[in-house]
Amino acid sequence: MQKRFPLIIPLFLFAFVFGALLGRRWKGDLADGVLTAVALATIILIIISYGERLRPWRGQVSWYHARGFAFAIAGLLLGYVLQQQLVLGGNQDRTAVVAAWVMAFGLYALGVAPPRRPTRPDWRAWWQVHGRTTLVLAAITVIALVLRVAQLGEIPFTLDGDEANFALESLGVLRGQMRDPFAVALHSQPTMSLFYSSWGISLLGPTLAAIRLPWAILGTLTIPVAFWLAARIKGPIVGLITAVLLATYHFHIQFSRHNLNNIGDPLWAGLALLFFYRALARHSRLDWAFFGAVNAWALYGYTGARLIPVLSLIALGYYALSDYTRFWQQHRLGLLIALGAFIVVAAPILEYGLRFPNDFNDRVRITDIFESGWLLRVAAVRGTSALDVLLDRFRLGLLVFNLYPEGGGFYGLPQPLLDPFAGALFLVGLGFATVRTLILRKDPQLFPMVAWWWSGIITGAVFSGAEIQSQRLITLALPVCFFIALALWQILQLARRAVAGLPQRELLTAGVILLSVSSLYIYFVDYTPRHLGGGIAAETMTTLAPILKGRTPPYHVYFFGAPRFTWNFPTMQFLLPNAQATDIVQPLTAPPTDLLPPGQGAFFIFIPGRVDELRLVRRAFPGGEVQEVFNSARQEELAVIYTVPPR
Amino acid sequence: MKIRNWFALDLLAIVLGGLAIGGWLIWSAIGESSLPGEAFMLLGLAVLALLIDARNEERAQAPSESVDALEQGKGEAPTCSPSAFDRPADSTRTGP
Repeated sequence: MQKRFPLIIPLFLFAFVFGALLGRRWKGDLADGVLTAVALATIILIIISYGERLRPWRGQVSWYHARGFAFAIAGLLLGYVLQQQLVLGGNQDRTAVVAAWVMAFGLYALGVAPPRRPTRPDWRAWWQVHGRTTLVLAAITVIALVLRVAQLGEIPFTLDGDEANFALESLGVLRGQMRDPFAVALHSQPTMSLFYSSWGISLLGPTLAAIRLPWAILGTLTIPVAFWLAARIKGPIVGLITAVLLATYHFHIQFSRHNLNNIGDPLWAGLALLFFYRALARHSRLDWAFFGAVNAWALYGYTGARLIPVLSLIALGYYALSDYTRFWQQHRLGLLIALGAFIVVAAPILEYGLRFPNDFNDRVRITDIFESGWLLRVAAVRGTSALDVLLDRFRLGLLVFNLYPEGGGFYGLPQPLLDPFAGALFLVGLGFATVRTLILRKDPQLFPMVAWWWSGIITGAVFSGAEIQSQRLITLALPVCFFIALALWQILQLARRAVAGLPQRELLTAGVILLSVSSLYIYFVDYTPRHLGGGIAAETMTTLAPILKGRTPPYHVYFFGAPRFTWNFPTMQFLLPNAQATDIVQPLTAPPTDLLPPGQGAFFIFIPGRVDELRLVRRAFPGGEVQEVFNSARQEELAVIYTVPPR
Repeated sequence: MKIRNWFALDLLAIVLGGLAIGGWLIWSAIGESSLPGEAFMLLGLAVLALLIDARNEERAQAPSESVDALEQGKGEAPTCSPSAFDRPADSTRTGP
C-alpha cells in the first residue's frame, strides 16, 4: 500500500504563501501575487511529480494525490485568466495571462495523464516496419512545403483586401496596439489568428512573403495530419495517396498561400478527428485531452472552424448510438477528460463570447442566410418557397467541386474546384462511403469523414452567404482528397480481384501522379498568370505599388478611383503606408491648376472609367509622362499613370 | 496477366466506364443550365459496382484476416464495428 505524503502539503502551502507574498510585493497587485504563488506551486508540483524517483522522497508521494493538486492549480490559473480578462483593457499586456492559460492546460494534461516511466522503444524494429512510409511521407511534406512557399510573395499575385487587413492588424499586434489574444477583431475573426500571423512579419519584415509564410507552414502541416488520419481509417496506402493529393491540390495550395486563417480549418478538423480515432482505439487519456483541446482551439480560428466541435459531437453521437452501453462504459472517463480540456482551452474565448455576443457572432450573423434574412428575401423575389431556394443552394453546393464555379473573390477559379477525372473519382468515393456508412451501416470508421464533408457543405455552402464561396469550403479539401484516395483504392482492389498479375503499385502511382500533375498545372500554369483572385481593386493596387515605391515623396499621388475604390484600400495601406495621396472623388470639370504646389512632382492615377479626366490634368500640367498599366495575361487595362516631375 | 474473376472484371468495366463517361459528361455540362442526369446515373452505377464488390469481398473474406496483412496492402481494411478501433496502445498499424 502506498504511503501518504507527509512532505507535500507543507511544502505546497509554503510555496503558495511565499509566492503570494513575493508576487504582491513585486507587482503590488493581489492577482499577480496569486499568479506568482500558483507558478511557484506548479514548479514544486512538477518537482514532486518526479519525487518517486528521488531517493529521499521515494514512496512518499503518489500521482493519485498529486493530480488533485494539479487540477486545483489548473483551476486557480483558469480563474486568474478569466478574472484578468474581465479587468484588463484591450491594449494591456497579457503575457502573464497567456502563460497562466498555457500552464492551466499543461497541468490539466499532467493531471489526467501522469507521466510514466519511459519505455525504451526499439527504434530498429520500428524503422524496419515504418521506415519506408516515413521517408515517403517526409518527401511528400517537403514537396508540399516547396509548393506552398516558393515565390510566396509573387504567387498569388494579388494582395487582396482581407489579406491586407489581416497584415495591418498583425502589424498592430507587433506594435503593441493589440494585446488580447482572447478576443475578436476585424470581421469578428479571433485575434489569436493575428498573433500567430504576426511572427512572419517579425521574422522577415512587412513583406508579402512574410505575411503569408505562417499560413503556408500551417497548410504544410496539414499534409502529415491528413496522412495519419486517412491511414488510421483505411491503412497507410490510402493515407499516402491522401497526403499526395492534398499536397498538390490547387485549392489547398491557394489558401496555404493566403494571409487568412481559413487554411487552419482542415488542419484543426483533421487533428480533432485524428485524436478522436486515437482516443477510441487506444483508450489514451492524453488523446482524449487533446481531442477536447483541439475542438476548443478551433474556436480561435476562422469562423468556419466552429463546425469542428459540432462535427466531433456528430461523430461521438454516431459511435455512442451504435452501441450505447459499451461506448459509455469504455469511454465515459475519456469523454469527461475531453470535456474538461475543452473547457480549459476554450474558457477565455467563451468568456469573451458571453460578454460580447454580437462581436463574437458578427460574422455568423452576416453570412447566415437564415439570420440575415437573405433566404426569405430571395424566396420573395423569386416567388418561390424558402425550401425551393434551399434545395437550389444544396444543388449548387453539392456540385461546387464538379460542376459550378465558386463565386468568391479569394480564389476566383473560373471552373469547379476539381478537374473532371478527380471530380468523378471524388463523387464515386463520396457516394461509396456515404452509402456504406449511412445506409448499409458498414465501415463505421468512414463515418466521421462522411459527416465532415456533408456538414461542411451544408454549413459552408448551403447556409452561408449569398454566393457559394471557396474560403468557406477549404475545410473540405482534406475529406475531398480522402474520398478520391478511397475511390482509387477500392478500384484497385476490384482490379486485383478481376485480373491476376496486375502491376498494382505502378498503376496506382501513375494514377496519383496524373491527378497531381493535372492539379498543379491548373494552379501554376493556367490560373496563376491570369491574376484571377482578389478582385480588380486589389489587383490594381498590387500592380501600382511597386511602380510607385521609392518615388514618393517628393511625389504626391492624386488618385482618380472613386467611386469604385479609393486610395485607402487596405492593399495600398499595407504596401505603401507612407505615400502621400489624395483621392479626387468628384470628377474634374476644369483643369486642376491649383493641385500641385511648386517643387513637388505628382502621380495622377486614373482607373478605367475616369481616364477621360487625364485630358484636363494634361492641360493643367503639360509635359508629363503617360504610362498604361495592364494585366498582360487578360489584356485588361488596370490604370493610367500620368507622371509630372517636380517643377 | 490473366483473368481471375469474370464477374469482378465486369464490375471493373462498369466502374471505369462510369467514371470516364460520367466525368466527361459532367465536364461538358459546365456552364449549362441543366444538370447532366446521365452522368450522375453512370457515376451511380460505378458506386453500385464498388458496393457489390465490397459486399462480395466481405462474404468471401475469412473473418480473421490478420491486421498485419492489411499493413502490407495485401487486403482491404476490415469492415469494423466501433469496437474494432479498440486496438492496443502500441498498435503499429498507422505508420509513424
